[in-house]
Amino acid sequence: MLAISIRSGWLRYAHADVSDGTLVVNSLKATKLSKDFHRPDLRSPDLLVLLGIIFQDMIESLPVQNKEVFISLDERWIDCQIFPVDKGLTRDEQESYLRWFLERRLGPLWPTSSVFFQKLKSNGSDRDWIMTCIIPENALEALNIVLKRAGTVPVWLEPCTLSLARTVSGDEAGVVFIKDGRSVRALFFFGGTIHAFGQPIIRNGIVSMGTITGDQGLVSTVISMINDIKPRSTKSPTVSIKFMGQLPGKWKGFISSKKSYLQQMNPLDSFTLTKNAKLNVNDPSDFGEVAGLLHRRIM
Amino acid sequence: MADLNLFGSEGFQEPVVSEKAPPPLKQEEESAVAIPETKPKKKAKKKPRKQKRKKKYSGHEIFSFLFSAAIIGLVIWFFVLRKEVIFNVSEYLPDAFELHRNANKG
Repeated sequence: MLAISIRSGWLRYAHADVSDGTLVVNSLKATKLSKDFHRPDLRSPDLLVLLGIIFQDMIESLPVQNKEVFISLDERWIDCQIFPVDKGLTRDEQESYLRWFLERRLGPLWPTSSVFFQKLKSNGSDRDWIMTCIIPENALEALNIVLKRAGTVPVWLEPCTLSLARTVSGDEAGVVFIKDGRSVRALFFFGGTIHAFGQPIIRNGIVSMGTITGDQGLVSTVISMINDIKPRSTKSPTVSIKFMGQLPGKWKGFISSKKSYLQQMNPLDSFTLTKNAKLNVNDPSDFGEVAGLLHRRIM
Repeated sequence: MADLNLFGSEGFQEPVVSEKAPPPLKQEEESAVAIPETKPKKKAKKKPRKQKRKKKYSGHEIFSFLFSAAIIGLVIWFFVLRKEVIFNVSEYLPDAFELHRNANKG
């Protein structure tokens, strides 16, 4: 299989062999995409050519067999949000409401967009939470065409948030801070399911959220618990706090002041890597989405 | 866990129910999974390990030797040169110098 991730201007991929539920990663690679590919026009007919350029060399360099492709794309490609809906509505009513709401939100882009929904496992709040993903029809079609032309089988496509969530989720409620270049992403979990995510900010050692989607009540509870932790306190926090990768800037101080409560994660820990794959990994945390796709394959 | 596949059908998707993932492999278990053993391996005879040859001289020692040799060489060369200088200089006494100058003029 081939697990491909495009996030923040980087193309990262893994080639793996799967047999009897066991997965061995043969190669792991990361390439910086040129600036033309950072914010592609997803509704342009030229997208097919652009995707061909991105994927061609990578696919040709891999063995002919096992060309099932799993892809994870960032928010430049897939708009992913978590919306609340009334619990009393039936599923059809919830879908009608969301379509009506999104039509107003997207305006003229609505007719050329493909929309996907999934209800999240309840976290005890008085509303249902629906994960919503939107991708331009043109981009979806172009991806399918390019992958099929290259002789591969497109199996799975998801937003990078879901790939990361699969990699870092645990059973407990909590938050995972993830390095994303010079910024940080935060994923909030309840009962093993993602319920909110966004970009956190840190000022004078106090964490707050810049952008956020999902259950804001859960987010503010978790954030206030984090900020209440005193550096020398012996109390263990009631939520789990984890991080992945070397967080940049002022986050370093946060990590060092509260390191006794924080747990570092390595997304590649649970996989067997060949020597060749190990050689190409400078920072395993960069392969969070790739790891999420590999987990998806053996589920 | 939310599991949306955008290669799948549009609209509402149910979470994909799948076989339980195998427990994560620990580093210690890796080799056993990757290469299943078919025959019991013979115990390899213990061969006395060849000791790595130690270098006779370290770089520092070689450098010091060369440096001191160079200094000695220079001292010898200096004295030899000095000797040559001494041997080659011919002094002219005032009379002899007068004679020598006249001879050169002629």
